[in-house]
Amino acid sequence: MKGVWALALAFLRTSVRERNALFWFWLFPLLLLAFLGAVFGRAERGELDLIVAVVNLDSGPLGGELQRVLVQPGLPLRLHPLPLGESPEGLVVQARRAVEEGEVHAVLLIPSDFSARLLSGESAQVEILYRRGEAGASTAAAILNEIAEEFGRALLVRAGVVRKEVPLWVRRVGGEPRTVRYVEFVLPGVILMALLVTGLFSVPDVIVLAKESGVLRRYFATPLSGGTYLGGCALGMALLGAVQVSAVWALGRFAFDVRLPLLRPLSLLFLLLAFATSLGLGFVVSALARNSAGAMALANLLNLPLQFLGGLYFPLTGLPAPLRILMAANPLTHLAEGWRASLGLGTSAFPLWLNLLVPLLWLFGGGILSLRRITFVEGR
Amino acid sequence: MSSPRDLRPTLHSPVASVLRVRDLRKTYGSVRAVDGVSFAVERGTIFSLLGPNGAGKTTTVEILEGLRIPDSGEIELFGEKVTRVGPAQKARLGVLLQEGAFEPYLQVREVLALFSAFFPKSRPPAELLALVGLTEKAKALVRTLSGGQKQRLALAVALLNDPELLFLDEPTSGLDPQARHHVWDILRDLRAQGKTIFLTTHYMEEAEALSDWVCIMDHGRIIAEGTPRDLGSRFGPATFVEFELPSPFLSALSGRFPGKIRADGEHVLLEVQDLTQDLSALLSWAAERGLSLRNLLVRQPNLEDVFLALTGRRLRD
Repeated sequence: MKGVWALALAFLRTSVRERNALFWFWLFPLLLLAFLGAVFGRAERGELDLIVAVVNLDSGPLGGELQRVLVQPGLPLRLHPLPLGESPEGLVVQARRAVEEGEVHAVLLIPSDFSARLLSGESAQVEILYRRGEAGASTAAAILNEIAEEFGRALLVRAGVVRKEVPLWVRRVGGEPRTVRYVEFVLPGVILMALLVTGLFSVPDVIVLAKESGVLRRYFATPLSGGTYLGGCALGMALLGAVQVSAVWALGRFAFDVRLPLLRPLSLLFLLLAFATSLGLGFVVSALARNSAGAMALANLLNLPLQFLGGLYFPLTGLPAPLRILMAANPLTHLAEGWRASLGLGTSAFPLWLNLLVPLLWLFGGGILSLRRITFVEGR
Repeated sequence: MSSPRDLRPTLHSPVASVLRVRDLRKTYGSVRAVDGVSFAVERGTIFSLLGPNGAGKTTTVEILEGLRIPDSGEIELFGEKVTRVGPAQKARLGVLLQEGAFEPYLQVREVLALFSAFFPKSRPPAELLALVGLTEKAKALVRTLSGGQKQRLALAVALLNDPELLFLDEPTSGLDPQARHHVWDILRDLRAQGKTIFLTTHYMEEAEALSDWVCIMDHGRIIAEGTPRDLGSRFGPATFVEFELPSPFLSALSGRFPGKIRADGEHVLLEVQDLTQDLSALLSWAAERGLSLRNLLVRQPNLEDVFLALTGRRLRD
């Protein structure tokens, strides 16, 4: 363990003392956030696609009718399926979880006596679940609210189901809506960028350059094992990443008043996964590159599409189909979407499990490739 | 002069040997880098492996340092037979690599602290820095050190774990004469403490001054071995006379001493069996022609002569 710690310390010292590393790994993320925050800090982020789910507990016909209204063409709503076969209580729990974890913007809850009450001329009540303080969720809730009220007022009369308009009460569950500022949206993106750049560039920079210059040859003439060496690199990067995240968070908090719940369990899980994925990508580049020039070329080749098709700096909507496929296969897309959703900064276009699965696939694929290909001493 | 093939590697007593190698082989594609090498290194001695570039000595040494895996052969290190040198053996080895390097942005003392973490036990860094004369550079970044200072740092790192067997590849390369002699003193002290030193060097005078046993390697094989004195005596009672002579007179001198002359530009090396008679003949020959034999030197055969005779090349070719 002392070897791991000593190597991590050496990694950190080098990254502080080497000018390029100092700029790109330590200063650049702060400068980027400062720039974006200063220029676009007060701008609001647009939302084009709203995802909703319906929990229909009604055994009569009208619950299903209301549900069908939601998928009419022209409405900016996409229905998110909830697991089948759940008990009514289970469905409600699932719906609440989907809202809390940002899988959906809002959920329409149709009670079991919905048809019975309306058909007997009584008023009925639906619930709309949405997340406190999230602009997209508020918009989705407002649209659901409007549809439900319209359904109650007019559609039933027009369908001849009842002879007079029946008031349909809507109870909203959630807080007051607020807009998400661009600087809030971009801060997780900048942190992800910092982690990606550190993993993708600093790990190969350390491993490949050390191999090329004879540093690794000297290390491995001692009892040092490959596992200890990689562990030292990983710990060094983790420490560097922790400082980066803290510095960017502090800049956002004190310069732009961004208050993000980074310590939520799901947020921490995404942060950890982002760190591990970046590290894995760095090991892949180190394993595949023949020399430091090749490593930098390969790292750049991965860096540009990963960053710009990952939605780190702006929402990715309206992309052509081929780019949408690349976007969906990009681990950064899922890390950014899932992490932002866990921070209350919007709703992910992908389900939570997919946002976790795609980076994990990259991580395991990269890990296997690295273990099979990486060498520390040439010409063994 | 006897043929190189007359000499066969001699394996010493296994009891006193810290390292024994039998029939070691390593091939890269069609190139036999190490082609059946056998030798033994006795405890408490300085063993030198000499050879021209490409002879296979670096591959041999790197196998013994655990940096390369041999194709076949037997290695007995510290009394234990191993197929490859692993962490348990490396913990008892000190290594100074010819092409080794250190992180340029670490301080000298940080490099020593880093390497101490790789060994179960280590000597105090301050003691080692004093030993190699780098105390004043303890806080200097490696990238600011001169070539000689880096070499002394490499020696300090090689001594960090108080090794029983030290592999030193060109340990005085890049050092000024004073620093070189200082390193020689350190190596002699280590030998006096019972440490064993495996040396590869381009400096013949270094091998002669330090070595208890020398192996000469060429084309992946050991072609001669023995003490420096034994190897030198393979020329019999020969003595060498060196001098400078204008090139046009070289052919005339060759006629006077057929087969005994080697020339490099104006520098002439004459091998003589009867010094009194042959030196007298040489001086008479020069006097008859009114020639001055500049920088005349009479000396005994050295390892460089042995090396040249065995391989047809100088060590630095």
